[in-house]
Amino acid sequence: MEEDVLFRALADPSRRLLLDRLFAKPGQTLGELIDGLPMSRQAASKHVAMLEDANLVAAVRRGREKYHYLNPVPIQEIAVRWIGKFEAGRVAALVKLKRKLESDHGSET
Amino acid sequence: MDRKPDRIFLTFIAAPPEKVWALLTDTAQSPDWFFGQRMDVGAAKDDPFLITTPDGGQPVKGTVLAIDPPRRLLVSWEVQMPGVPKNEIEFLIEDMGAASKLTVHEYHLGEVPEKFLKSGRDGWSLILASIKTLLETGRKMPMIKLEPPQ
Repeated sequence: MEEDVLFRALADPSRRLLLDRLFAKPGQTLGELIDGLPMSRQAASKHVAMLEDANLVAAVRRGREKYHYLNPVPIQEIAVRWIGKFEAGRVAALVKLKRKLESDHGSET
Repeated sequence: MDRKPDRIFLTFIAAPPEKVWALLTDTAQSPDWFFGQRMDVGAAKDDPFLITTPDGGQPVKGTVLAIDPPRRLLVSWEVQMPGVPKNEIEFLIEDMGAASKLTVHEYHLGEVPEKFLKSGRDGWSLILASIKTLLETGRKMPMIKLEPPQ
């Protein structure tokens, strides 16, 4: 499932740190992204690949360089989906409550 | 093109590029994914690009800089407020087989204040999520009032 990939990508503090750094400064090369971090280029490259698979990182190539960006859209898509579900759930609960109250009331009179 | 975008927003949509392009450039349908606003995209290079709110305001004006249906649209994005530099917005649609990849590139032609960067982030994320939902399920964007930055 698409969401499994998304949540798995987010379920790692190193990857969240990389996302934080891309949020602070969009359009970094891999070298810039790990500058000052105790993380090997190889490890970072694996993390970034997972983030790209989850669509949380978008990248463009310009010449020999690859620039990375945080893509916030998948987070928004999850929010839209769950907000929709919560609303639907509340509506259903209210309908049920209304029915119950009305039928209880009906049995008393 | 050698320049790199300042921001990127992207989503994958289970629809062919032609359908994504048709929705993106159909003014009549744009309020369904654009906070109730109309987006007018001229048919050719140098034609006007306009965003119109339900009350008739025009918060963004611009020009079509490049148009290549159903793959690429580049417009100048001129927020009609003092202190906001001109931006360019590029829409790219790639055929990925079972889906289309819809990408928005933001190019800043000057220093954009943080509050406008934030409304870009929130705005494009919602817009792309809405275009995806609309094309895949037919459901329109829930009415969210998006206040312009103060």
